[in-house]
Amino acid sequence: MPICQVCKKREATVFLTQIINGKKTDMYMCRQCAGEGYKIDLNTLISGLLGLSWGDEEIGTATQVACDRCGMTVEEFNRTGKMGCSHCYDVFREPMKVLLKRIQGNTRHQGKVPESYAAAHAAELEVEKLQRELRECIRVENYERAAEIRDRIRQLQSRRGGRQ
Amino acid sequence: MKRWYIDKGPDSDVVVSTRVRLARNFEEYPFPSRCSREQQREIIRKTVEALTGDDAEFRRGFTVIDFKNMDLNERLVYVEKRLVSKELAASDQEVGLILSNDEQISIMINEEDHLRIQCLAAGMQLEKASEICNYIDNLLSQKIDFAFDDTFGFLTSCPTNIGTAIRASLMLHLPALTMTGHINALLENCGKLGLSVRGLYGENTEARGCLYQLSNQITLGKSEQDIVMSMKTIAYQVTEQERLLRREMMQRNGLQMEDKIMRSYGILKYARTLSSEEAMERLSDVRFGIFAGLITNLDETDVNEMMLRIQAGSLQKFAGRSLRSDEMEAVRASYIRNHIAKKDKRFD
Repeated sequence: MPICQVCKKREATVFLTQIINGKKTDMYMCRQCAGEGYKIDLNTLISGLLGLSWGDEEIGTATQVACDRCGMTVEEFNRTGKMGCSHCYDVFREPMKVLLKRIQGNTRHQGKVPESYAAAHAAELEVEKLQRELRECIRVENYERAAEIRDRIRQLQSRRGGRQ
Repeated sequence: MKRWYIDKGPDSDVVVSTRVRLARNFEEYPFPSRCSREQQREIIRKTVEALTGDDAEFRRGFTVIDFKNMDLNERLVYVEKRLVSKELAASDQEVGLILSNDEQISIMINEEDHLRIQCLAAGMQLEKASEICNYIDNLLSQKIDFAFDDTFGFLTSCPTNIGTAIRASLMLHLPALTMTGHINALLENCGKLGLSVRGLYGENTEARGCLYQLSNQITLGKSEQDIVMSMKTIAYQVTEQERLLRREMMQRNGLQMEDKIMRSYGILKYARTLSSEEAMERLSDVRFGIFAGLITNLDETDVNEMMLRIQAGSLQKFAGRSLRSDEMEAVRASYIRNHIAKKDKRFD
């Protein structure tokens, strides 16, 4: 992995492309340095990944070039066409959407949802609903009902925690 | 259920076999190419545990194959039976294989994705094969958290598999479409409908033995059922066209067709050396001849089995040693001669 061109110490995980008056400059930076001097938008399109041309406009764009969990870089993806881990899809979510639109024609999953995921999701929604109800009970000083709801929330949360 | 290559399935005059495959990844580990060997071994262990569980009877139905320590020739036999991919066979990583004893279900571990759950069946059995994959997936999901995203669905190493991560494919025997040249238009149309068609056994699009593999390209944005159903609809149309053309060819050029088929049969019955190309071509003619009612002492399962057993890995296993290519041609011819002779005897 390249070293940050600003502090020359830390590993560079951000790749900055600037095109000013038609002149393109590329720069590798660590997150800290990038955060100080430049506005970083992690979701900016990754030009290499998508093969998009930027044209001659004056744009300064930065893209994260590595996944912070597995270390996969954009350059690696461009070479292999493969992601490094499930978290890469979070890191490169927006460019991935564009890529998927192109190769799959769709960006939204319509099929099977794992049972555990669906159950966890349902529990999450229920907890949210109960918390709203709890606040309302406290407001109207219905403490008996509030205690019931609190217990139910704990139960749901512990069940979720139990699986992980 | 019998092994796909010795079973008779629905619509087997055109559809040789069905395969459905699901890709799954553990949430907690990076994808296989970025896993340490230790992590790869953990994945194998956890998968075996999750699948076999406490149900002793279910457990007896599966074997964990020591794929890692197997020599290359033997690995090739699994590729030829379509139980594993070429990539898994060639891998030097900690790869694993769980196989049901009837060779219908196979789970490849640490190929491009952590798991590839696959079901094979004879003839056209898309629904059945996908139900079985779904069942195995549910079973594993009880113990394993699979990488899943609300928007993107099941996450896979390659974005071309994301979403349902399902790949359904049919092996089709299309001699009439091939001989008449209509196959090219067909290939083009399938591409437009989001299906890919490629030759089987041969490289790239060149098909050997008039065998083609039809499979879905799109995995995201459609449900598993939609993917399978639209594929089934298209496959039936292809099947009908093939049947129509076969009938037409037999009506118009009956004598020439019969001559071609019976010559091929004669060569298979008596030849002393056979290249892989020629054998596949002759077997394809014989398969056509069986369904045209011209050859009665063999059936499609004989052809399926011969097409499989004459591939390099299986032949060397049959011979019990590595073979030079000229030796291979002789062993191939002798294997086919014996197979046909056995069947002939039954009818004497």
